[in-house]
Amino acid sequence: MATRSVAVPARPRGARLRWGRLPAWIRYPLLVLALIGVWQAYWVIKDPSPLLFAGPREVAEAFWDGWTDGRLARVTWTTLKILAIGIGIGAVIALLLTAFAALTQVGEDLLRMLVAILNPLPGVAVLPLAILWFGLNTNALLFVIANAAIWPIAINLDTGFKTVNQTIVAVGRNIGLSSARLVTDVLAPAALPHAISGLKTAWAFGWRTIIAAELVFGVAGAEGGLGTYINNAKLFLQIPQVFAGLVTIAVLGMTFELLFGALERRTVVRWGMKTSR
Amino acid sequence: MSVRGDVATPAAARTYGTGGPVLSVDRVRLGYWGRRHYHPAIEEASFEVAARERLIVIGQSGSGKSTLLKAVAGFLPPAGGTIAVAGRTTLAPGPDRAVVFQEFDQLFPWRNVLQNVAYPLRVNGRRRRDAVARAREYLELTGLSHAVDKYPHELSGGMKQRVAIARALALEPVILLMDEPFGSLDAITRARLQRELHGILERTQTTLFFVTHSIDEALILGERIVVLHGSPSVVRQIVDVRGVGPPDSPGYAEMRIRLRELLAIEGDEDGDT
Repeated sequence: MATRSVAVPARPRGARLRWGRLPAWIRYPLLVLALIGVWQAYWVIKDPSPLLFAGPREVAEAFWDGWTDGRLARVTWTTLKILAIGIGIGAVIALLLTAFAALTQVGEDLLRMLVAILNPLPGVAVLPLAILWFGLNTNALLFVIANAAIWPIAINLDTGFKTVNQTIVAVGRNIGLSSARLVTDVLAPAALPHAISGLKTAWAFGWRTIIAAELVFGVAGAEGGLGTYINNAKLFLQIPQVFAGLVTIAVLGMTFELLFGALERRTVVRWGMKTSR
Repeated sequence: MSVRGDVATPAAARTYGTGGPVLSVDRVRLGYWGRRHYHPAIEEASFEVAARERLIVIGQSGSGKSTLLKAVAGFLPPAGGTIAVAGRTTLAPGPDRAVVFQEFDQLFPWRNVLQNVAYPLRVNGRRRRDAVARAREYLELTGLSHAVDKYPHELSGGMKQRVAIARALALEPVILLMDEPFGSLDAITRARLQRELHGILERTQTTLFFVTHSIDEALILGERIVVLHGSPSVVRQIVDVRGVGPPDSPGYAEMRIRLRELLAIEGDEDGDT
């Protein structure tokens, strides 16, 4: 993702080490360190109230304690589990909708209309209704996340299926593929680049939605998830813990970005179906 | 291009039924349905292709030659008349009429070269080991042994078309259908692939149905040439070019002029071939 394979003109003699020449695994950690440096500087120079702000050191301690005593690990796991199930439900519904849209005109109209109506709606906007319908429990969260995940996945899958190269479909039929195998062996891999970007967007939307939803009403299970953790820490004015929760979210976000990147490099980039950035 | 003898005992050398024509096109009318209107492409066409014969259909753009190939491949039902392959007239697309298309992107991008050739064999019931061995044979035949691990996007246009040819040949079709497979290649690559294809077909004794707008391609590859004329078109003439001789012979030049007249080409429009 971060590496560019553009022909670089020869470096003039005596030129200094250039940022772009450093490998990605050095550039990004360096940037993170720089950010932490700015943070520390602000902490030292401005000396803000510890009831409003926390320095890198305190946050690192809270982060470490949270993960070693298991509390942060438990709430993160709770959130991830709900998120995964919610996105899974959303993906299945999106698949059904796009399949219906691919097969019939009614389905296509329905999908287009639902996307127009529901896609611009922020995920948490349906939370009050979800609480009314399902109560203050995990189901309400699942509903909200599934709703947030369906539309980006459906839009991308729909585009993916519509833009499948017709020559390849003709080849599939020519070599004797049944309709079912045409779908699994030709249409599915051909639409994979779009499916992956749909999942990426769904993942991002889902994250924002679940954290926001948990901040609004915490309890999912005994202890709640990451959003609840942050909210509770705020209530008890444990500012380093608030920051530790935020850092956890950031780290997970980066981790999934890396995972999706690796998935793409192994599939669509390797097959020349998507160029690496 | 290296050619091994053991590949050369193939499919097309098998006999079909009573030795009748492999492909029979009988008073076929073809066209497309638009929103309201029917757009005819071929007014009427009749001809036959015998086993091991190489038949070229030639016509200018808009003559419906690719439409004809689509119909033989089973992608488009005729509006009238019958198309029979090895005696069967119900034609869904199938590997007995393997197609090589003009487009470079006819390979599966997510499969490497070897898999692109072996996968259709697996689909048609061959065991993995058998399919891979056969795929390697045909890739060697088309000069691609060095590229079996490459993915399609790493290949040049000419190499992609070689893979497509290997894939179609490996299926050992009753009749091989080719729709201007060299139409998107540069002149030099095109000429080389024409020569190589000619050698391969001689060796494998494959029955060929080949569509092109290039007179030279038709003369290099074909034994008989069906000339389509008009739009919607009719078969203007079927020309036997077996005795024509090499491109530098007087017979070739004569035949070239005759085909140009049949196609009603004026000036030097065909100069690119």
